[in-house]
Amino acid sequence: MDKILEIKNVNGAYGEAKVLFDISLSFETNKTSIIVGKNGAGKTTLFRIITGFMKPTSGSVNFFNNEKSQNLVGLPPYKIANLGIRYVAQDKAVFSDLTVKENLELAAYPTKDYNWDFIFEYFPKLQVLLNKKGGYLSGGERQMLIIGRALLGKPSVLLLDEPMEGLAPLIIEGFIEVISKIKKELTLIIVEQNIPVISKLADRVFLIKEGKIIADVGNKDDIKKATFEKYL
Amino acid sequence: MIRTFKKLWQPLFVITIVFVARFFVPISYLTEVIIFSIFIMSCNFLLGYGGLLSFGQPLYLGVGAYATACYLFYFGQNPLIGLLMGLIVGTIFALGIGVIIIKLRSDYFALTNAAMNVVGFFLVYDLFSNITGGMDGIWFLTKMNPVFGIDFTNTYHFFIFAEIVLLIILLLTQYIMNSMFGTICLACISNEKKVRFLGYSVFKTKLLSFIFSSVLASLAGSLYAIYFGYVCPSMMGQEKAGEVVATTILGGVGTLFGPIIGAAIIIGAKDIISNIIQNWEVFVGALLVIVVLKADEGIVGLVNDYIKKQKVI
Repeated sequence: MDKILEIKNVNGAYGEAKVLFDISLSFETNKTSIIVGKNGAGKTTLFRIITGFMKPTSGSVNFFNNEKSQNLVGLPPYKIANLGIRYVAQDKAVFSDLTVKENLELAAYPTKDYNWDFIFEYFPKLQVLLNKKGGYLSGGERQMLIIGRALLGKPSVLLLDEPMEGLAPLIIEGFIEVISKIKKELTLIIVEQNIPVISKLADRVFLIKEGKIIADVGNKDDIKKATFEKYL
Repeated sequence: MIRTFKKLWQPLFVITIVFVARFFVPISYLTEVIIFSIFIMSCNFLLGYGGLLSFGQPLYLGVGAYATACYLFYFGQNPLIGLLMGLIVGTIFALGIGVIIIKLRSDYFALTNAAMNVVGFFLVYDLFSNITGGMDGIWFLTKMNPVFGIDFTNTYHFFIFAEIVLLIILLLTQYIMNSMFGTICLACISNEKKVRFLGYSVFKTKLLSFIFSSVLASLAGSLYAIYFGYVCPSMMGQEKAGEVVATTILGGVGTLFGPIIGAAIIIGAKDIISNIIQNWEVFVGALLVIVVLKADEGIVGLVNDYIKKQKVI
């Protein structure tokens, strides 16, 4: 299978505190990889490095697009986003003063892809909320908007940082269904601690502990059998 | 495009009110209100759409004013070319300064601008006094020739010219506020990080809003220079910076017509209240406190709140 993203010998630190230790991973095209680990293990730091919000102390992040390889280290976040790597952060923040429609317009403008009907197929509720301001949306509605917004412009890689955190079980079921559809069309990299989500969505699981990758589970049956609880 | 121009009638309505007002109030007052409004619009856009507070707006006003004045005093007699010079020099100056200071944290940005204003004042007052005339300034009222039948030294002619400029600026500002660029600016104020996630450069967005704001200030400076036929360093005084910010807040930050309302009140207070009490600023200060406590969008916000309440009733 073709690689789309390759992280090579990446080390990351916040000042003197080293957080990532010689991380090497690769993500395959149109596969869903889930990164599992305790709080503080370095999962979000890894996402911050991939998306350009943090510079690694050493190592490279290579993005393979149209058979060309490009090192993302040193590129500003907006350029990485425009290459087709979108990031949905943990905080579920939308532009609260803008309506749902304006939030979508804002996301569509850089790629000029204003065809957002497919987003309403995934999240029909957003169509009803089009003129509602982002600040008045519930947690689940915000998450629908953020994921919908990230999908505009047909990105090739989507990074989701704990997308199910704080959501009601019924809403989580809905999101799992949507993500199962989305995952066929793009590469998903998810940071997740919810075990049912991991077993239902993952094609590959990376276990991270204290800034180091300690296991790489690439077989569906092994993922279902594995007991990830002890790593959380 | 339709969304952008659907409120086209609003600037036209305001311009009509200003035009009719000349039958009731002195033209000189209205002309000053127009020019001061454009100056306030610069601070209003920077604060409302760039999220940046500047205590150095008089610097950009001075750049436009002195560029126009120097052209008209040393090189030519065409006030329109003088105005163009003010805009060109203002744009280049804003670009050069903006690239350096736009990345600063908002409080440092405000203070750096204030500091640059002081430096600018010193340069005009002392260091380049052989060119700028120092504290005496530059007089060039008699050097300006009429252009296309417009005599810029004629009060009525200049009033009509200033009205046309205000209309263009109102339409342009309304277009920008309702455009995608305006939305990106608001999104940057709300959450810069999320804007980057979506593929926008926050630096470029802020730089463009800073340049637009500074060019508006330079345009106001050029208009002042042509209107009075005179420039002097006091127009860049540090006390003016506070006045601009106060007027912006009084009118309503981020609103299209707040600057005009704020400018009309401040110029009116200067003219009328200063005849009654010497320290007219006391009135403006008290009014500002009342408005800020009552509404966060200034007088425009108060009016909007009142209209909304009436609709509910």
